[in-house]
Amino acid sequence: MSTFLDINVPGEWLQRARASDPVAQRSIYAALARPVYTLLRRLVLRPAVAEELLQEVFLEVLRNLGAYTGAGSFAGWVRSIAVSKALMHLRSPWHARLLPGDCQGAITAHAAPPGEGVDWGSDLERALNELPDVSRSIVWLHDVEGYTHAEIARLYERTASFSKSQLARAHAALRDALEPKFGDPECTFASKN
Amino acid sequence: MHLRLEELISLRDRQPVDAASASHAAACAQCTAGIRRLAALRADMRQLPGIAPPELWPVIEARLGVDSTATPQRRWTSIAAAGSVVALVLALAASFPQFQAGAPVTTARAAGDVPLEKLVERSQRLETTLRQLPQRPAVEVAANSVAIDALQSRIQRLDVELASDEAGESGQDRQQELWSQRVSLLNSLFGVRYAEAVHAGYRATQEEGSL
Repeated sequence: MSTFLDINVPGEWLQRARASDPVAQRSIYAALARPVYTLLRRLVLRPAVAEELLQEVFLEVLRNLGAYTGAGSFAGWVRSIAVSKALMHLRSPWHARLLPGDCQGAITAHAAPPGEGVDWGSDLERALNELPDVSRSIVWLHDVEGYTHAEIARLYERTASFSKSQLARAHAALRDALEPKFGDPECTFASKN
Repeated sequence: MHLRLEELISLRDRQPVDAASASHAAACAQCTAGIRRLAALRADMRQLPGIAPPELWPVIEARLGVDSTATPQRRWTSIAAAGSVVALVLALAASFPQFQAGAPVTTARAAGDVPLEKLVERSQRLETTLRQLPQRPAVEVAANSVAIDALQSRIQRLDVELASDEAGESGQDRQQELWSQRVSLLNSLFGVRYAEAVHAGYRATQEEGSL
């Protein structure tokens, strides 16, 4: 399950950070930077973009600590900001212009360009990397972060059926990419998609 | 007929499916194996290691200080964008006093923390990314242009200093400091150019009424 759920940020840090205490602000960053960056890299792939978004997430978090009401975990609140910024980037005209040839009407599959230092260490990471942005982000949000189809539907301003369909597409593509590794030719999904 | 992938995922997630599908899954070894594989794949994804971010706190801390008086919402309005860009440039100028005539040279805060090779590599990556940004909009915001020119000018001056010391006679610490500053400046340049590109794109799309 999401690593965010394991992170407990003490209320004292929040209180001090609201008063612009730099030590508390840095402590919050240190506690959450790695999971936030991991999530951003899974969603947007490109290290340079993920680094920019990481800055934007923490700027928003630390400037708006007063907006965190205490309902739900603080880490979950930070995660929702990170997800929102990543999806905003994927939907942006800049991103769409940079990556023409959309296969789903909005966003296209891509790999990070050469020279960005991407080291996808496993077959699974490579397979995830090859998914279209929408499918990859939905499979990650659903299967790893634990978002429900209804929550994903709200993020994309679409229906729960859209989320389910994209999740199935993602799994079909992952299965195709990883099939040799699984090595069980008799077991095939009978997808109607 | 075996179950569809969507139904297998629903069963894996213990979500409701129709009775016929549930009873088929209970009796079908192939579909049961499919559900198991989906669960294994999910477990594998959750086990993927986290990715360590580069040390960005000094940049965030500086930007927090710079922008602390800006309103958090409506960042994409041109007035706020222009204001923050100008503030960013002023802060950068303050952060790199060696660019001011007669000012003493100081050491960048995080220069010693990152190996030189990493700084050079990061600098190259940022340049690659900058080249991939769309061209600047035909109608430029004056504050953006001022900021971009100032940042580019500082990068050029750094490059002159780096080029004049290719043999590294100034020492490892100085080289590290210069490359660290170069990375910071490129990062800021990317931030300004990226914000400008997104802002221009959003505005164009909103005018077309399609966003």
